[in-house]
Formats: sequence, structure tokens, C-alpha cells
Amino acid sequence: MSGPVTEGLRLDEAVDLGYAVAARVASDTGVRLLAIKGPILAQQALRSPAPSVDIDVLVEPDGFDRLRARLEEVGWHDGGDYDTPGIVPIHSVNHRHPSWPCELDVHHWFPGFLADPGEVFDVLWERRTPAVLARVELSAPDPVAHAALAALHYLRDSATTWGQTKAEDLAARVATWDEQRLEDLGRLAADTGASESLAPFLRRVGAPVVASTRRLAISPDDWQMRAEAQTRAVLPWLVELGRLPWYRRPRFVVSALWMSDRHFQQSQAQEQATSGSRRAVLAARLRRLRRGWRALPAAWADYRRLSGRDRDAS
Amino acid sequence: MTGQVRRSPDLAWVDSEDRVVLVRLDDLAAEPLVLSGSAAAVWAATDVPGTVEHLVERVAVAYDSPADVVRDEVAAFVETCVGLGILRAGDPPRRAPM
Repeated sequence: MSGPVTEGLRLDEAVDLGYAVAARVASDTGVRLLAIKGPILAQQALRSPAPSVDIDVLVEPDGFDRLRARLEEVGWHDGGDYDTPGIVPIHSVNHRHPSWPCELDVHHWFPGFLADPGEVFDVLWERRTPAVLARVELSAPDPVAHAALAALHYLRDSATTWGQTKAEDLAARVATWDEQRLEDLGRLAADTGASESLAPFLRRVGAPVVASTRRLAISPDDWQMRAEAQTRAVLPWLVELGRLPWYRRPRFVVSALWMSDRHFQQSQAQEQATSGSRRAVLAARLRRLRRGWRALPAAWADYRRLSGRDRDAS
Repeated sequence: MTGQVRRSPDLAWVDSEDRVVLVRLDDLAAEPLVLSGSAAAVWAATDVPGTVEHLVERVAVAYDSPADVVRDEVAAFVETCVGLGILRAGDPPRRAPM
């Protein structure tokens, strides 16, 4: 008879177990945590069962650092690259463990919920519901709140086929809800500053679009730009450049074209594209510049279109 | 080993047809443990607390083998798992009288 051994985790096993680990870390550190996306969505019939590739959790913003410190202590190290600009502010960090085949994405807010992240978390927490993964009970958003969160996740990429397909699949499920539940969805959107960002989804499923009942803490323009962007690679750099005062732009352009060694190697490590030799790094830098040059015209057109909309609206 | 053997309540675990993977939630720095083949079968037999002898009987039935054939291996498995903290041995703590 073989005894217990430590060997490779399979992805499907790791995801379920990882949610349980994250919940325990949160419990040990006294941080409120909601298990989001992935298998929980499937359990709540908000998507079909499908393999998940990572673990996603949303934590109360005040407990974010405390939870991350404990994750580091137990071997889940922050492996993300946060120097690359984003159209919306950074909303999550990626922790990795050498023995686990998936990332643990810790969100301290969720893009599209544009009210204060702490207030949004309180609203979602108030509506939490139990879920079980790997025989451990966790807290998750209730199906109404989870549908809103998932819809925002898909709408963020609504210019892509992936985003459109996923949003439509979710909408087809939510559209079957009764009137009372759909009204609840509309009220939740208003209570989290998501009335505008969720509006296309709310209209699609027949839920009311109610004026936001909270002050927005995050720019709806950034959200709109992110949701409507048709390019990805270069656009965030152009957006960031446009946000900077003129005197900081030259330095930013230089750093965008020729990242610091640390930043570049970190980004390459994520793409797993480069060996460590100086020659290989130089070749990778040149490849990146060529890719950027080729992507620039489409990104520039996207930027003009999206920022032009802002000007037209003001 | 005397007394009841039961699963630790501080575990997360998943199972499939051929294996069980466990994570100790009271020691999150510990590596996940994989039980496969007959080890997974013995784990399945621990779903209800019982003595080692009870486990031997359940495993013997599952494998359609005489208890004497599996006794030593089941006992060794239990001892290892108790050492790893995924099984606990001994009678459960008694509740204080109300």
C-alpha cells in the first residue's frame, strides 16, 4: 500500500483547494473574504461547469495588506508585474506558490463597481451566501451580486468575442429570473455605483437601470474606455501618457520603450520567452519594440476614438 | 493504536476516481498530500470514525480480502496519517456536563 506523497497537483484540484486555503488565511487574519468567479459561478448556475485556471477572491480593502502578508508567510508569493500601466487602476495582485499550478488573484476592488471599494465590499458582504469547495465552507456573493460581478468582468472586455460570448451566456441565464430578482439586481447596481457600467447588461436582461445611490469614487470614463477598447497591447501606455503632465512625458516615453532591466525581466518571466543571457534579453527587447511598433497604429486609432468620445461628451 | 480514528476537521480535500488530495488548513505551509490507489481506498474508509480494527474490516470488504492480509498495512497507513496530522487518533474530547 502506498502512503501519502507530495506530488504534482492537477489544476482542477488546485483551484478548489486554493479557494479553501485563501478562506482559511482570511479567517486566520480576521479579514473578510468572498470567493468569486470560477467554480462558485458554476455552482450558482451562472455559467456552465468548466475548468478554472486560477483562484479569485475579493477581500475588504482594509484587510488587503494583512491577508497578503499572511499569504507570503505560507509560501504564496506576490509574482505580479504592476509597473505596466492600466486603463483602470490596479484592482488585484497575483500570488503564486511553487507547488501549485494556479495563481491566487486577490482583488481589493472589482472594476465596474465604481463606488468606494470599502462600501461596495460591505454591500456584497451583507448579501453573502455560503458555498462549499474542497469540503470547506466559504463565503461568496449571493447569485444576484455574483451575476453583477461576473457581468462586469465580461463587459470589461466587451469589445472581444470572448467578452461578448460570456456576457450573452450569463444574460440568457439571468433573463429567466423573476421580476423581483431583476429589480434586486438593478438596486444592487445602484448601491455599488455600477448602474452605468452595468447598464448594457441590465437592459439586456430586463432589469431596471436605477440612478446610482452612492457617490462614485472611481472614474466612469476610465471604465468606459477599458470596456470599449479594441486593442490591448499599446493602448494603456498611450492612455497613461495622456494623463501625465507634459514635463513627465519624455521620461515616461523612454521608460515605455526601454523598461528597466528589473521590470523587463519580470514581464518576460511572465511570458516565459527569454533565457537570462544579455544577448537573449537584447533580442527580446528588440522583438518587443517591433511588436509595439506594429500595434501602434491600431492603438493610436483606438485612443483617438475613445478619448474623442470624452471630448464630445464634455 | 487504540481509540477512535477520525479525519482532522482542519482539512480541505478533493477526490476523484483514483486519488485524494488533501491540504492541512492548520499548517498552510505544508505541501498538499496525495493519496492514490489503495491509500485512497483506506482514506475512503475513514469517512466514519472507528477503531483501526473497524478500518481493517471496511478495507477488507472493499478489497474482498481477508482482514489478516490488510491489517498491517492499514495500521501503518493510519500511523503515518496521524503523524502527518490528517487523521486523529484517540477518543474525542468529552463534552462538559451542562
